Amino acid sequence: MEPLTPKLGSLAQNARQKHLKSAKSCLFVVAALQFIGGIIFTFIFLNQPIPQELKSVVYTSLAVIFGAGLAFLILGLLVPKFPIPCTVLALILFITLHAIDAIANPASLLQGIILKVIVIVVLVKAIQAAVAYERERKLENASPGM
Amino acid sequence: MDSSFDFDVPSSNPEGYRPSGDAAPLKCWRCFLLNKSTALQCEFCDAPFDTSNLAPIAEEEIACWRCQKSNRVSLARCGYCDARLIQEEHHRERRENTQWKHGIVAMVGHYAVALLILLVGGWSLAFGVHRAGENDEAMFRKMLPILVTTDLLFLGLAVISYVHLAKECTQPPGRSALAAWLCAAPMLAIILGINYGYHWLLEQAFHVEGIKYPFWGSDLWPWTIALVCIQPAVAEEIFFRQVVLGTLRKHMSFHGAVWLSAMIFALAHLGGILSIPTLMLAGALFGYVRAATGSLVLPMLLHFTHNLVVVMFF
Repeated sequence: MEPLTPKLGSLAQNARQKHLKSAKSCLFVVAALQFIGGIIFTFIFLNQPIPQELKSVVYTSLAVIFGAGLAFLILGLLVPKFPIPCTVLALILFITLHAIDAIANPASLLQGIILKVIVIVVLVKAIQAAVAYERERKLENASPGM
Repeated sequence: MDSSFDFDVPSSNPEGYRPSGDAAPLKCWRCFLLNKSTALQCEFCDAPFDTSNLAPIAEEEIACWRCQKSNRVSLARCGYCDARLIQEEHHRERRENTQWKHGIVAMVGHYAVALLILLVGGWSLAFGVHRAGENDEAMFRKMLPILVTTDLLFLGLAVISYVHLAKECTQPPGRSALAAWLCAAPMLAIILGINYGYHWLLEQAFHVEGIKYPFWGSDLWPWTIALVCIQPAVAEEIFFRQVVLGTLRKHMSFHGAVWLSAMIFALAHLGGILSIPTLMLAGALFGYVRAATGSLVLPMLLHFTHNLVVVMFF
């Protein structure tokens, strides 16, 4: 039998799941961007000779890029369990990584600034979604009859 | 059914009650999907509807502002259209919700501004990885104006953040202040021991040395005390243990908030990224002490002592 008003009764539940899904997707998008950036970076350096003294710097940069991608992926997977900590940590991590990058190479602060702003906005949206999810869950727990 | 109520719901589901003569659908208490008003169990999840409690309940009714149908006063949402029954309540909750979002996002925004300020400090201290043989005192003297400016800016930011997020970052009073005061010194000694061992290992493994701030026999020692011991103890404690920890505690578990704030505190030390693991431990200690005492005095004292010992002996 079809519901009389399809899914009307589960509006709150759906909204919560939507918030959570949105936060999770945001983190996966950032992880994907990080991996794509890492792959492009790898191809660039594979196709040109690297001086011996710069090799360690390049390998460290690659490790940081892929490590950050992995961190975002793990945070995305953990979002359903710890929504707010994961999203906040992701944004903090992203901002800090770029700040560290800017210390090593000040010119990098403005490189890809549009993409950086987009990612920051996406992560802020993820935090808002996580907060909304927690809020809804608390409301739900406070009034179990709802 | 002949009862004045023509539907069946468990007593734990007050929303399921409908006025007599109204063939409103019955919302399942488990899956929230709508069923026929005469259903004995949910069509979708098979949850049973309690048929034992069908006596009419005399209670004041309220008309839903959206669909105009009557509901019991105790209900939070309309049983027919799911609207919140009292608009004022709805708006209040929306306002609170916005404040929540505002608090945590604003906190991260303030952190980003703090990073921008600390970036300058990081540039001036050459990333925290010091080349052996370089003259630290000369470098410190050269960078002094930049360090003073960034420290003052960060202090200003901490105060602005505290004022701006005062409501969002209030924390409950501490409940074990005496224990915290008694345990603080030994815990700090352990953290400093770990810190020393970790940096000794770094020196052995990677041949990197931390910056040695001018202290013994230098005329710059008052500046070192002011910029490396006093300013971080005050500004960082206000920012990380009050603003950041206070905001996070409203959104997550206590331990989660303490450790996340400790991680944020450690990541903010752009001038010494190799020290992040030990800084995180120190940040967690300060966070627990802040929560236990309910004030910033002891964390500030511990932070000052920690930095003083590092400057003097490491």
